[in-house]
Amino acid sequence: MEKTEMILQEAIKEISKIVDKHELMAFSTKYLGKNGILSEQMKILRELPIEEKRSFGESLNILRDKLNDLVKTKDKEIEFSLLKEKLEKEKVDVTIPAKPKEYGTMHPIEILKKDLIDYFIERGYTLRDGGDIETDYYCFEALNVPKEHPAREMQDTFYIDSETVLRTHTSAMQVRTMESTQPPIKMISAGNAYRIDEVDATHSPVFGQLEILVVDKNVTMADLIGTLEGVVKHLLGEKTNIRVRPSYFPFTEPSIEADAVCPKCQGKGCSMCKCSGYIEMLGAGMVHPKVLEMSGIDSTVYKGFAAGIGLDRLAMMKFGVSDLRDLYENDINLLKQFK
Amino acid sequence: MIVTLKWLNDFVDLSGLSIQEIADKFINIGFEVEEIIDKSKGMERVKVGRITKLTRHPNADKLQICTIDLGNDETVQILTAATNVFEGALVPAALDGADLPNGVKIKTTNMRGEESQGMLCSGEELCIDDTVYPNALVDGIMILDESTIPGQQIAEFLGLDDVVFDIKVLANRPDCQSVYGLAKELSAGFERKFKEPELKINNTKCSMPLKIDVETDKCPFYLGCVVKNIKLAPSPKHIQNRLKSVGITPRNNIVDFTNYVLHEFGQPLHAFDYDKIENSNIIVRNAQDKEKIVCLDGETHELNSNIVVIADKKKPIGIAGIMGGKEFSITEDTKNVMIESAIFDRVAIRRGARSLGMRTDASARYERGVETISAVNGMNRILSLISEFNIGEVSENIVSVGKLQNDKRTINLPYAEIEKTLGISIELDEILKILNNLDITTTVRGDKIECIIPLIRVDLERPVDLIEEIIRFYGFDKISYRYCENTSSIAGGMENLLKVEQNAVQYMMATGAHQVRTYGFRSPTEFDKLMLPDKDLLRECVKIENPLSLDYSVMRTEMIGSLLYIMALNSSRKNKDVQIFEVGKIFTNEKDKKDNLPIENKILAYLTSKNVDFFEIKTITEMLAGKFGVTFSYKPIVIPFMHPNICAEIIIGNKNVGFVGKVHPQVTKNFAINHDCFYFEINLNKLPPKKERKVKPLPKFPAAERDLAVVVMEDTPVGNMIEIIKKAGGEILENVELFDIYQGEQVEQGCKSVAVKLMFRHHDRTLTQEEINEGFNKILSRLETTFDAKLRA
Repeated sequence: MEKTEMILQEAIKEISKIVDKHELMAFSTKYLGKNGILSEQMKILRELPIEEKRSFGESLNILRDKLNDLVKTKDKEIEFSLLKEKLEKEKVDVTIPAKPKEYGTMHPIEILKKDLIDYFIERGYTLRDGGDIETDYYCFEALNVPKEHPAREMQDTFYIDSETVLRTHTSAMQVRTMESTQPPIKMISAGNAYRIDEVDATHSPVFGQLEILVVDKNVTMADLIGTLEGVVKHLLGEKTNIRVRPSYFPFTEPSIEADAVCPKCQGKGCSMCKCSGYIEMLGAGMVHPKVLEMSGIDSTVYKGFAAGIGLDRLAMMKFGVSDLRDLYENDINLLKQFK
Repeated sequence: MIVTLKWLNDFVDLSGLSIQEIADKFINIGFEVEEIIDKSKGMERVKVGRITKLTRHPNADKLQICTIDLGNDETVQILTAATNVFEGALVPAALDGADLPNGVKIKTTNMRGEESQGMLCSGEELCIDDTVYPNALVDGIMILDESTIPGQQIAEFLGLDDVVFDIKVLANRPDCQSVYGLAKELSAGFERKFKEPELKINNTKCSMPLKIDVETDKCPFYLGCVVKNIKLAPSPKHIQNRLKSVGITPRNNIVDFTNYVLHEFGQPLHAFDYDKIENSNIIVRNAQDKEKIVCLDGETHELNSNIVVIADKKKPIGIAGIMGGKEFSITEDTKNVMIESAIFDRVAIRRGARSLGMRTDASARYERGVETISAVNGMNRILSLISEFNIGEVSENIVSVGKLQNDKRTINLPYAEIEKTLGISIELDEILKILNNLDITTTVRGDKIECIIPLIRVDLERPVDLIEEIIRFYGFDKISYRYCENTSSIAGGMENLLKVEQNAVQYMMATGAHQVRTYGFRSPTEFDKLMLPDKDLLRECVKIENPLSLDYSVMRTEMIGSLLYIMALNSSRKNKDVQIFEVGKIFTNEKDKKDNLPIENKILAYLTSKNVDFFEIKTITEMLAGKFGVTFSYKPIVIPFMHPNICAEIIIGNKNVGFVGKVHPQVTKNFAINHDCFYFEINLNKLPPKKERKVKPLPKFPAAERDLAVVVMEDTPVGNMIEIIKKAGGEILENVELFDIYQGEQVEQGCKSVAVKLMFRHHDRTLTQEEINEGFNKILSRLETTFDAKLRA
């Protein structure tokens, strides 16, 4: 065996026993240091005759590289075992409960509102915002409800003065939209509406409403009913069917009301639908030609449909709330349930 | 509107139809059924029986054995413990299998060796009282009068063999505020013939003087007719039963007939004591202010000039369309009556009834609108009833004032318009049939259908109204759904403010806050709770003319009150660490120029009872600023309901957009909250629109960091210092980061050390040492001159 090979073997044997940086330093000095074994051999090399110098020199170079590798590898090994030791000390009891930090919640009526807004925005509708305080004109007159019209009795109104009201429905946004936008129109508007109702388990003087308005050349009652069916299915499930029955609103003609066949009992009657088999969902209709005309839209060219969905009772039904007051009381223990 | 099955049957044959089928038809043609009461429910197996024999029970002292004749040679034996029975008495006998209205089920039983094949009933067991049958609630068995015979169904005898429907009639159908009108709808719905009532009036030769003067424009039509020598008595039993079924207490034949016709034809009628009318001269006029009248309700009512009265020369004898005067009402002494059938102005009646706080069956109908033809029909109907039951002699002249409107309206309905509106095509024959069933006379002229509208259908004005009639009876269920496939496509989306609002809600939820929903109403007393000074701008609120109560009487001008109110509720329930927020509206008294409406602003408001410090809350507003794409600066501000020394106004540029701080402890106390609260609000309307997103290239050259520590007076606002540093640093100062504020040893008393990390960078080259030093020195010298700062050694 050559001399260099013997040194290497010796070094491998020796380094395998090393466990810390200190010993490794000593090893490094012993073999690679100024007066180390490698230097000793270099001195010998210098003494050698020229014909042996070349091959021995090469062997020594290889030896140096290998020794350097050994030290580097060992160094990494020691570093890692030190890290392992450190990690061992850092052990935590992962079963200890975390400090409480929760996501907040959206108010149930707002959840429903956002859900409906998203549904219609996806279908190309424009969401518009309107004022809670509205002129008598936009809330009534322009919707074919002149002063002293019996339909005003249907919606007991809060007045600010003789020409200003708290809007009784989001339908007030219909004419505002039609005045500012030429058809085609696909508009929704969500917000608060106000009616004189004492606060009780099913009534509130303020309630959320979503308005839907479509005005275009080829809009029919069939499109209205299809649209309503879509939104009812979205809210209550794919299998929910709707029932359409005639109704009356001064600003639509024909007017309809759409009920959902109760998804829980399929129309047989249960607690969810108060034994009627149906759940009242919304009022709707084809925009009355007078309303189109008053908004400056040619009723011989364009037709429209409009619908209004009350959000409060829908939220009660959907989330199983039996008393509307619970939704306006805002006890955080109730709100927290809407994660 | 309450109607009964039998009454409807007078006008349309509903035989063979179940109650449910009739109810469903009502719903399908647009009349919600609010209630159905089968008045005979539970009495199916209860018959009238005669006690033919009465013996003592051999084994039970308290029981008697009755042999009951049920007619048709049917006899049963029934045992009873009642003591008021006697041989020959007619009694209600519940037979085997009966399921009584009070829930008791009857079976044949054996009582101490004797069989009882049923039970004799008391009024209580049949759930009836004295209004249904006199002495129904007597202690013991109900003893029936001799107007019945054994075997008759008890429900029939008691007039309870009828079904009551409570129907919701919408505002556009005043004609359906009557049995007649609803029967007409059913006749069209079931396609069964409508039976017009036969009106036979036996005019006598008698002629009584009657003069009617109408001196107001609020009475377009007035009919009066005198009936002589009336025979006042209870009205016929079937009329009494029907009135009772619809909730009207029978009085006497004349009064009952007026109520009957009101209900049947929808025409309010009134009967006055003719002999008490001065000079037989009726005057219809506006009331004088403060004029008084005692009405049938026994109350004295003070009138005003908006009210119309029926009067004679001396005084009012009734309030037109609302209620008659007591003095002129029908009494036992009344010999002759004057029947009024009139039309009064809808609005006048509504205002009059409101100002008096009276709402009667008559006024309710006038408010909805009654047509002149109805006055004629109503008068004819009551006179025919008077003739039929021979109550009195009908005068041959009916005095009439005003014009009878009998010009029928014609509407031309373009055939194509039907499909254009409904989205389905309906056969012409089908359309004509539906219209004709509604008494609409049709003639097809080219592509149009000429329709002549019956007088009572005031709701039918335009072609589209007829299209509704067609689909109402054709059936909405026959429309196959479409989904706007034929409409144009538009971009959609939402206004910027709504996007901002949605973002704000999402972010606030991420902080752990819960969204609440509150009313925009306020009580003015809450301004005091918020310690607002007398002339504070926030007290300038929009007032509601007709509020529900003081608590809801004005519109809020601030959000904090709403949230404090919610906090108080949660606090009273011991809910801890409450974090709530709302995006709500506040309303100012200032008007916008376009519509002259009060200006509304959307406010994001946040309130917490968590044990936090100011800076934790400021962190939230800062993160929101990032989210909104704006930079907020903060300045101390004094707001009456906030802590005087822990509150900052939030500013963009030089515009106030909100504030953040601790709620004044006295205010939390005023709201009965027993812990500290932190609050902020941001006016979303005042935020600038978010800039379009464009990527800024990442820096290519290294930054240089320098620390700078200066000593300043302790009350120097650090925020202001940082602003000055930014200004002085100019373009090459990329960032300033505060890392220490220190007071104590090594720093002079009354001073503080402020240390910041400065980061310098140039975007297209590496800065030289000189440039960095120059920047640093500029900053330092500005701090020295502005804040008297000294470089810390």
